[in-house]
Amino acid sequence: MREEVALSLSGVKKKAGAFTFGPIDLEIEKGYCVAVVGPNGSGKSTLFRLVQNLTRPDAGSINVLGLQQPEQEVKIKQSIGYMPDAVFGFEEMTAVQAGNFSQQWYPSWNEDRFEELIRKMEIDRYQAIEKMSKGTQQRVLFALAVARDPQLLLLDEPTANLDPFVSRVMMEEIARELEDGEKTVVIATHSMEEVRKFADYVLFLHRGKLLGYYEKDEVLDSWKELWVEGTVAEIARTPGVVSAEGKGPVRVVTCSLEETEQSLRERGHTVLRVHSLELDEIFAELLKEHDRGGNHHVASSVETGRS
Amino acid sequence: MWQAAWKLVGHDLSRAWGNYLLMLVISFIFGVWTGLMVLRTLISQEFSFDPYLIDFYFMAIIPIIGCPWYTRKHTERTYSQLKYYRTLPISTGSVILSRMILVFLRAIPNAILMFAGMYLASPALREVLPPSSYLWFIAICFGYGLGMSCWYPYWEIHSRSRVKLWLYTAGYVAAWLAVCAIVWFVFDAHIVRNVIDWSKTSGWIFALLSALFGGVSAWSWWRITKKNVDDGVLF
Repeated sequence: MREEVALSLSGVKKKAGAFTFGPIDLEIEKGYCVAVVGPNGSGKSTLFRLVQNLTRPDAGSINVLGLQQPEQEVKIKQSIGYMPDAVFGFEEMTAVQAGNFSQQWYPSWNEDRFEELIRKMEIDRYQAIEKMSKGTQQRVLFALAVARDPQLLLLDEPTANLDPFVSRVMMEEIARELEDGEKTVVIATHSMEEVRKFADYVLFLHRGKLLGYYEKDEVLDSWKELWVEGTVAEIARTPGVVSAEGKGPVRVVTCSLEETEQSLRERGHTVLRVHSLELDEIFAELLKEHDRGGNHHVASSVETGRS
Repeated sequence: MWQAAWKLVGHDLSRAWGNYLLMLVISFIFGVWTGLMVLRTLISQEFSFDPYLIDFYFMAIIPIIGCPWYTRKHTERTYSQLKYYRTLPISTGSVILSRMILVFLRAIPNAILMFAGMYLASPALREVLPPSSYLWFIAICFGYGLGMSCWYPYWEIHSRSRVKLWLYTAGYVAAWLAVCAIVWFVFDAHIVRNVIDWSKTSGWIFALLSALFGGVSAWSWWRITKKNVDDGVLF
């Protein structure tokens, strides 16, 4: 296991009723912010549970920060700051009591950082968590996760119930955590805006399957929408083309702009326009391709996406 | 493992100490009431139905002598509390051990208060069993009650699903009825009467067997519950 790897999943598979997660092979390097994107039920929370050994995989192995699950579960958890999507099990406590209870389990607990976050996020120190709004509860969960001074932050939809201003503060705090280049943040989110602004890598999940793991800037640069003269039949098999549709100018989506453009030019097709795609549009294309069963380029992107 | 388990025990008791004390008071009142009402009729043998009633009654109460029910509110589900503990850097073994310790911490004072109340309130029982024999009576009942109560953490981790909760509870009731039925109809005996007889004659042997049952049960339920939690039943 390379030292720079924060999280590694190898052939991980988990079946729960009708839902099957994986098999998934994945390596996340240290020092980056990785956004896990996918619709509800895509396996984002399952991924977080597997990483923490809250649920065990049916097959495969999981390595976190060079430590093997489940053999070194306690050590791994001491290095993880997990923020679940809701409060459970300590609702009756105040934020301060929750902090006091948490700190006895984390050797690297940073009380000053906890106090700072309580102040910055305007959390009432003495109000029971169960009486707080959902948004404030999320702020408490965030403060508890970050104050552990973890090497790996796992944030499950951290800004789901927050107003834009607090979301902004939270995302800035996440960025601050990444400053020293030692910590890794994995964040499950539905907000493409946050992904676009803060993530280094994007991991697309759908129905428990990994559709792709990409460097965000690279994917935004290489995935484009082209309008091309010709017919769908002529263009569909061009290298890099994910989808081609329409009559007259054909609307083409490519995952490899350079390669597609070059091939089209060589075959005498004129590219009329090139448009950038948003991340949600790229995800939609990946979904379509996955549903068509054509995921050949997805596997290769997982292997080469880190280059 | 023990250190982490005791920390959790301390936390659980501190968050629900009112409930803990309430249970102790209820146990004492229950013991007194049993002594006054039920044992008296058993020993006086006024009604032929009584030995069945008292068996049924004992078999219903003794197996839950160590069940914690440590919740702050009656609506609280300790399942989610266990789920929270699992997200912390605490081994599964420690989490389940803490629940087992809670079973012991409930069973021991509960048994002391309940059986003391029973003895104090029942002159008939004091006539039948001298204090030394009564200690064997308590020990026999305690080992059995503790052994059965060690099932509680398993029940607790499955309490998320209402169906499972009722299914396991129904299983427990069925087992209790089955034990009664077997003793009555297969062995043609009565449980409490037999325990009283054993306590007078060879109490230590049955107390030892009962303690052994309690120990094996505690170890077995710890392993079974731990395996379930390891397999991810809480999530």
